[in-house]
Amino acid sequence: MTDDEIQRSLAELHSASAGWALSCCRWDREEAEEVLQVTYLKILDGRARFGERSSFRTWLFGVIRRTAAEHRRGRWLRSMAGLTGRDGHPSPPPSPETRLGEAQSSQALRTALRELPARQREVLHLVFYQEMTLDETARVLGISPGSARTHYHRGKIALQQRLGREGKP
Amino acid sequence: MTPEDDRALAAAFADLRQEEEGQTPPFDEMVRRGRSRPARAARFLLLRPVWLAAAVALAALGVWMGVRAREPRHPDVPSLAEWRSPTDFLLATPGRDLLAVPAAWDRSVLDLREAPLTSQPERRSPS
Repeated sequence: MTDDEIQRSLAELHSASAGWALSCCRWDREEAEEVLQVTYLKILDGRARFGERSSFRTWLFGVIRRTAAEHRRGRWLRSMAGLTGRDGHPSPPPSPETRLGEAQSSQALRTALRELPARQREVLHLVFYQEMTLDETARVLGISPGSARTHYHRGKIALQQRLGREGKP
Repeated sequence: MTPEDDRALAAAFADLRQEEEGQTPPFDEMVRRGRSRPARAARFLLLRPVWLAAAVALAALGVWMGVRAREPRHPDVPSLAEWRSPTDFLLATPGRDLLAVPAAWDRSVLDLREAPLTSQPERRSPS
């Protein structure tokens, strides 16, 4: 892919990438924007290269995920060294009263997703939000399709329970 | 989980996507903001004194542990082979010499005073 093609593909996938970055950063908007900026610069400056072994979207989502993990580690180290005021954790979840008022809304879904284990949250986001297949999801996360399927089923049940509906296995 | 549950989840995620898409800054704006951020190297420089101090402390700890490992731990304590129990004399009971060699079928304990028993008794002549 040429530089122009890469830039065009990044622009086309920008909304989807932003959603994925938000999920990787547990909906910490400031952190997600930083992660996305760093990811774009990595790719545009040639520090991350597309090897064309998978689709561009699968590769891009993998880069975003790794960048978010690096960012989290960096933030934790900076907080340990006392260089930032923030402790690197997302804002605390709202109280149960607040949650009742948000039932069935996007905020309730975000809150429920935030409470899920990382793998389950990632799989559900990629399948439902990004409309990826389980095979594509497994490639983005670097896990086997069987493992992705397990996280998918467990995640759906856990999410249903957190949203206040009864999860039926 | 029923197909209806799956559809409800898909609809909830679609609402979430729609909401978030409206709040996402444009791509060019994102790249421009990224370029104007302070360089990561500059941030690393801020962290460098902390890392250097940690590395020096770790190296000093390593050297100290290495020196300590080479020193004999308890120079005044005798080795296990040299050690004798202070109550060893209690085991020196009378008749202990009888038990020092295995018993022989054709010799009496009374012979012990004349010639000590050996494990290989002399063979008697057939006469």
